[in-house]
Amino acid sequence: MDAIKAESVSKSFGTVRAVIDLNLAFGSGEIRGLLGPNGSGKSTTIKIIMGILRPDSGKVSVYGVDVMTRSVDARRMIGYVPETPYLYEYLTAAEYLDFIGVAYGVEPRDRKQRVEELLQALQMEDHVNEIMSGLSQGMKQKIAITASLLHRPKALILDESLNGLDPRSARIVKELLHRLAREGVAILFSTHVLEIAEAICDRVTIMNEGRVLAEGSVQELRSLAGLPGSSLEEVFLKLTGSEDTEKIVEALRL
Amino acid sequence: MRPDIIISLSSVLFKSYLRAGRTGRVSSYSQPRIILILDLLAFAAPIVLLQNVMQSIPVELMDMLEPIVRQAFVGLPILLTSGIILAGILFELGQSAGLSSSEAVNFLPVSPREYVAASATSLFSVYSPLLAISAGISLPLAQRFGLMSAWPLAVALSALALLQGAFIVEILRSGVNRFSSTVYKRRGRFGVVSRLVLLIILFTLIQLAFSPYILYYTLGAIVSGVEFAWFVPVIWSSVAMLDQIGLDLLSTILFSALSLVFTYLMFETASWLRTMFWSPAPMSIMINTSVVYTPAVTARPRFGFGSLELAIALKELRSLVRRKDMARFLAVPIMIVIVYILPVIVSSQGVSYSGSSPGFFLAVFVPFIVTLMLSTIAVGQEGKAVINLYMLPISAKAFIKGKLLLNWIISGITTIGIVGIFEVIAPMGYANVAATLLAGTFVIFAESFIGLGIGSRHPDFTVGSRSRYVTLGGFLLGFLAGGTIALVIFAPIALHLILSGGIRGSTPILGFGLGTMIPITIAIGSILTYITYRYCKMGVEEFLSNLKA
Repeated sequence: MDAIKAESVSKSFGTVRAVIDLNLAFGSGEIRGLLGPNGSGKSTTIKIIMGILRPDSGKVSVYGVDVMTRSVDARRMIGYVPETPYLYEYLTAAEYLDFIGVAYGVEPRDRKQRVEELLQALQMEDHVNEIMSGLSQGMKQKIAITASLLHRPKALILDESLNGLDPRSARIVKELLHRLAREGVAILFSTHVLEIAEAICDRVTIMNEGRVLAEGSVQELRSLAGLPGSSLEEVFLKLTGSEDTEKIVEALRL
Repeated sequence: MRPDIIISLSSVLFKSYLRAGRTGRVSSYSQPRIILILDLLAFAAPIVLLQNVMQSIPVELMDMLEPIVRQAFVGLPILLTSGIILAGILFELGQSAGLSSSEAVNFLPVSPREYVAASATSLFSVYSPLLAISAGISLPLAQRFGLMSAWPLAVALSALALLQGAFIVEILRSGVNRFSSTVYKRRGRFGVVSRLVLLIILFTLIQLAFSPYILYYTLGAIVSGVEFAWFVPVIWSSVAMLDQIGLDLLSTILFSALSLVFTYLMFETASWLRTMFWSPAPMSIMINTSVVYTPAVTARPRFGFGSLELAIALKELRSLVRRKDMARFLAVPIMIVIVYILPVIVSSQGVSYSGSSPGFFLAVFVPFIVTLMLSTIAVGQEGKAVINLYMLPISAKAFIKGKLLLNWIISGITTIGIVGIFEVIAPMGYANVAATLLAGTFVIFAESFIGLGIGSRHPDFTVGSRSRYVTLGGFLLGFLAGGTIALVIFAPIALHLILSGGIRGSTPILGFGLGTMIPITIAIGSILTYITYRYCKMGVEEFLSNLKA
């Protein structure tokens, strides 16, 4: 069974077609990268998969559970880290994690163990009783990552989630993702940083202007682009038709 | 000070006011020049209106109005100062840095004096329609009552008073910032509560200062004698007006000059406080000095509420007591009770209210306004953090119960408190009290459902003290629907009180006794509560399945 499956999904906002006839499917234990330039439809796709944005057409399921008709059941299986961690800033990190833990039905003993481990790994243990409005962006991101893993999700969705993390924490999160994948968690990882996608993801889906342009392992994409031996960045720029960056820079009269 | 910097920064701050929460392209309605058009309209409309209205008022009545008009001229400057301070406390002090653009300036080469001048100018511009409308109202009155020689000075002193108020708001801004950072750093949880109490006291005092009774006494005191005026700089401009009307030129010049000096001193004080106390970076606040994570004891399901619903209710409580912009909503029930009860106590002077049921009308008002207000803002106040609710496994039913539990408790306690207090001041009898509380209970449930239903359909996620957390259309819809529901549910008991002795002191009329009215209240209340619940649930279901933030 596919862990995450989107079939013929389309979504428009007024005249803007954000996602067009999108098909995406991958199984447990896979880390799928979702790449694309700004405005390509990645975040909209993620919100539709989360069941928080209703598609105009198409169907999305998580481990066979329809996210539109059984969104509560689907969300129980998902951990989500948004691009910008909008947390409840008037709560302390501990209070916020308690709230999330209760929402997912994580028992206090289990919660304590997991929170302590994760906060320690991300060097956040000293800030646990601090009101979150005073935390830096990176610290908030670490709290959001901790919250997403609290209930041992079967599917993990990360939207540009390594933004703002210090190198050590980013490395820990990357290794953690590999471990989770080995344990059978399906991971959808949206990013702009192609090096990270290349290092983390088993397969990559490239989106542009709401459509899926290409899909496959980095090796397969290199072949598809006719650029064997090149980096994912070159493949990405070629596939999205934006490889003429040098000319653009030359044209700048700085 | 560099005038170009002040003008430019003032324009930026003003645009932030106009465009708070807006996205997309800038419309012509969000350009600074819109305020000039508003000022012109606010000035011209009352002139046209009053000139027509005054022609139809009998001469005898106009003569009777003359002393009131003279008093109003005297009180105009102090009214504007108080008005802008009130608006400042309610709408400006809790403004988020992002919305008010006050953060970026910390990293620019702008001096505290330049910032204060720019911010006060911007605030002055935002509230300039108050000045324009005052000038527009006072011009035809001045013409009619022979005060034309005083009118230019009244407008000039009012403008000065408005600027004075703007500087006082700047002083408060730095003061509150200092208070927050000091108390928060040292006292953690105690600091949070202290700030809440301070804000509620501030709101209540300001509201009281604007109650007609207090204003009446203050203005009367100014008009009746200036002996104490030397000691109260805020009223110097009003004293100058009094002397102008009394044709005391020397004193007019003296107090006008003193007002000018006082305004300048307020500017210097605000600049000094900003230099000393402004804390540009968000501070780190420890609620608990321990660095060990101890999970909170998960609330066990009780009284029909599950753990998740209780967790949401606890989150709502923390939001209400910790957020500066939310404190005003907690202050509203307290303000309503005090402002309503005070005149009854002050003006009673031994008069017995027994049997006239004044408490009933407040008992109608509180469940309507407090419950509706708290439920309507329940969704919008989440701001961008609403994404947290979207990603959690929450059903519509759990969402409704969690979001409304605190509201039910606050509204219930306030309603019981009000009816209880009035039962001591002006008893209406235990049977009527019980019937009022019964109707009040239905109104609390129905209003909370209608409010949350509207809040989830028309949320405004702009977070800050000037935001409403619900769109204007939603607010009006809620007010109309909520008002109608409260009236319909309370109608049988009101009918009983009016017709069967509760208010008139007459003998009961057959058919309007409580024996008939209570079952009718139960029937109407049950039906409306059910209908509003369905409306609420549908709205929440739609909300949770389609991201609006």
